Amino acid sequence: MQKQLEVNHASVSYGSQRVVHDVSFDLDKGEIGCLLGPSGCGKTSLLRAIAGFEPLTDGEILLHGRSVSRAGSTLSPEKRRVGMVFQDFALYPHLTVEQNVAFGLRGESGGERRERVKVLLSLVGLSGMEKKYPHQLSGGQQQRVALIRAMAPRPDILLLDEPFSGLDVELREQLAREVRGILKRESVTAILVTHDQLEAFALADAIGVLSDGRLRQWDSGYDLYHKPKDRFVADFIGQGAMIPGCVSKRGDVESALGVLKGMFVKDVTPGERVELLVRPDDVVHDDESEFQLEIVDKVFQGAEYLYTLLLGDGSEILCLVQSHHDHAIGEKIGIRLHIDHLVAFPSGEGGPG
Amino acid sequence: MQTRVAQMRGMLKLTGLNAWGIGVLSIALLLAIPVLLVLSFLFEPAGEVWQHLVDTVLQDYVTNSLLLMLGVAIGVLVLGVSTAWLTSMCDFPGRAVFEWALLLPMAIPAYIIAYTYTGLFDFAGPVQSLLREWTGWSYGDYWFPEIRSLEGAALMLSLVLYPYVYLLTRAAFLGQSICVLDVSRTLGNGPWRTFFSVALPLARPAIVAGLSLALMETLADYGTVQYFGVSTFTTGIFRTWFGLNNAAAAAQLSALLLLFVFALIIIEKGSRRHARYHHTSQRHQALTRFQLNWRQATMAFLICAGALFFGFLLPAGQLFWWALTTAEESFDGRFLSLISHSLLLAGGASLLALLLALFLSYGKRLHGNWLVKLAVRVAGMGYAIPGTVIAVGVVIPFAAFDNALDAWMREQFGWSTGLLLSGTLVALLFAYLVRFLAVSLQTVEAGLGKIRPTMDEVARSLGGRSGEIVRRVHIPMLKGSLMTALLLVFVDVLKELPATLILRPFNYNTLAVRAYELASDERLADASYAALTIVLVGILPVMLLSRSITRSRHAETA
Repeated sequence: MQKQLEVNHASVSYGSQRVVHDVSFDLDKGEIGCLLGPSGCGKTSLLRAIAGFEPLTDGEILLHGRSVSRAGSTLSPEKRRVGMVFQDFALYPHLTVEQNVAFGLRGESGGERRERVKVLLSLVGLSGMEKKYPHQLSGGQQQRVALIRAMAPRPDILLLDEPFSGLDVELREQLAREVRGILKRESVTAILVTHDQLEAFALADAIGVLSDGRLRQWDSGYDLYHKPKDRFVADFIGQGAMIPGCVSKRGDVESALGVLKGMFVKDVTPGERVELLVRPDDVVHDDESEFQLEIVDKVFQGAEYLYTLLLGDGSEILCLVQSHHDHAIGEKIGIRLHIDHLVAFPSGEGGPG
Repeated sequence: MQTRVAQMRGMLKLTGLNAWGIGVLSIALLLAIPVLLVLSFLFEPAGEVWQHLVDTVLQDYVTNSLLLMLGVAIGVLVLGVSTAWLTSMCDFPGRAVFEWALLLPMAIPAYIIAYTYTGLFDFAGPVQSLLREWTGWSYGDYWFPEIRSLEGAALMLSLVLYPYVYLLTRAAFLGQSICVLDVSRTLGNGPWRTFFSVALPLARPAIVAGLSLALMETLADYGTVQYFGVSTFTTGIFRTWFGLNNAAAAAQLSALLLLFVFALIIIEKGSRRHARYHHTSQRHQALTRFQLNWRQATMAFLICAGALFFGFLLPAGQLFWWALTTAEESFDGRFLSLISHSLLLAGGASLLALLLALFLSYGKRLHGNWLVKLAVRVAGMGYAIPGTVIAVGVVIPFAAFDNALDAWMREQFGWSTGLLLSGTLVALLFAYLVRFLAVSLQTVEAGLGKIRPTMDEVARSLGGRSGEIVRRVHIPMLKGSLMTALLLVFVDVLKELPATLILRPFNYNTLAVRAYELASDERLADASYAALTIVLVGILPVMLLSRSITRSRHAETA
């Protein structure tokens, strides 16, 4: 099947500084991707390269099978049928909502244009707002207008540059879910750029984690969390603790939590020291269990407590417990391990971060 | 030849310039010629005339200019800061009207207010005549302050220049220190203590910036000091030029004056930079003003009403009265030709300035490397340069160009071109551009700044080509700024006196020049038609300013 977007070994440089390094991934039609990473990781540069605002220094970008960017040749943004939603929304203050949304509609009759705007406005629950000006709308409403303005000409791909970062925190997740619903209903192919993993989980089918201009992993949210391919992804996504262990002759890992079966990110040899990633949800509270650990810290999170537990060798793990199990610091509680994927990194590969 | 071209290409690449950038650079260079030329006279060996000036009048020029600046500084500080504080922080009847009406004196050029006050207060004027009638005194029996003096000039300039201080200080009071003022009040400080211990120190950078602007205008003034017979730099330059017929010495005086101006620019820029650090809060919460008791409210009202009355109502009223009494003789074909000359010059200069400003600011937006940015700044430098100095800086190179061309043509073809540019409208328009491009540039750049780069990018991602983006996004969003830029330059050119006086074609009269000539002939009432026209047109930009003030007030309460 024809891929909607293909990014092959793409690199972007500003002067002599390379900000995106040999990145490859692709998206099917209707799929929503996300570029996730800390600020300065190159995710926005990559998005702007897909939009056509930045040239590639290496590699290639194909939209709907058509090569739009190569080193030395960049199809300009206005010719590549992309829709883009910017962080500041960039609504035109001198145009009404209707005129803003219709901005990219050309070659259609006035009636068709009005009809398309009407459909889009009702899609995002803004019917009746046609004649308002941007400054009369709330932040969330402006965001939705920016979204449907980009969608109006039915672009091959929709690019969203941190579209929720200008909004209140409480609004973000709700809006992200709403936007996903809208994009799925219209089967729009889209890419989101964000530094907020909850936003990424709420919106995207596939997520790429970037750091230092390199794509560390391209996977579903579930796999990024449970099967991180390197230390950076393990640290960046979700919470967790690293505990020391040692590879046995049979290929198991011996640690303060006992002998565990592991999935190794890199090849290890028996006897080698490794670090194990233990997620809070890998550790299940069980009063019956004989394996008792002391609580050294606790944080109330509403539905759960996040307990920090002390192991025999001095390292610590995290444990999520329903919040009516209220134990005091210093108390011992029983735990069971429920580890499907035990991720182990050779010791000394990058510090904890 | 080909290697030369290749070399030049290489050099251009090095500076990162394209055709647009080269255009920007050339314009900036051209506009900088008058100032650079005048400054170059600092290094010219002093001639005989210069030595003569140093021995006789130079000290007067310096002393008088400094005294005038001191007087104006005191005047604008007292008027500007007090009215700014009262209208922004206190509540009393009429405050909302004073808030914008206090800007009205800006509409009156200093030389025009000087004419009206002379008409009102000199020996034959209505005030002294009435005094003599009531008391029976005659000439020599009593003392009356002489309006045509250095003190009088300082008063005139203060009355029309205080709005600079008022405007900037008011913004500082409103924008910067509301929360700290609230803190001061919750800590138990009354209005006076809060004013002196918190508000004034915080607003100081803004006050200094406003003061520097007022002093630049003071240094640039020619009409007032000339009419009052006060010898300052500007009158000295005129006298050296036309009296002693010595261009070099006039240029040297101009260069010296420029040093004063540069000092003011440095102070102004410095305090503006400082002012930024004083923004303690971006939020404009609705402020609760001090409630004044009736006695305080009366005082507040009188202070604001006084500034408004003496700065605008009285002189404008006098002009209006004169215009009524001289309507029959004054309103004739000659007056119409004055108007058409002024319209042509002001309209032409504002249009040219707008086009140049658009070219420069788009150059900066699209291809702005450091060199282009520097060039744009240089092009906007002229606002502080006195018109007299610019005129000197224009006449000298234009004359040199004309003479060189004439000599060359005679040598080559045996016929004389005479003075091709000197004494033409070209020279005059060029001088206006040097002086007022900054006004246009600032307005256009501010308007362009509101069109964020992402707005261009959205349009492109939606399939918009450059031409379409300009038509559908830039022009509609810029329209207001472009109109404002046109209007501001138009009014400034209309008021400009010394540059017009020096550079105009022979017998080419404008409203400002005619008002000056008639007033110099002691025909004050006859000058009123021209003067009143200038004032009435000058009210337009004041209305723009006051509208933005009212808008910001709505934003405050919203």
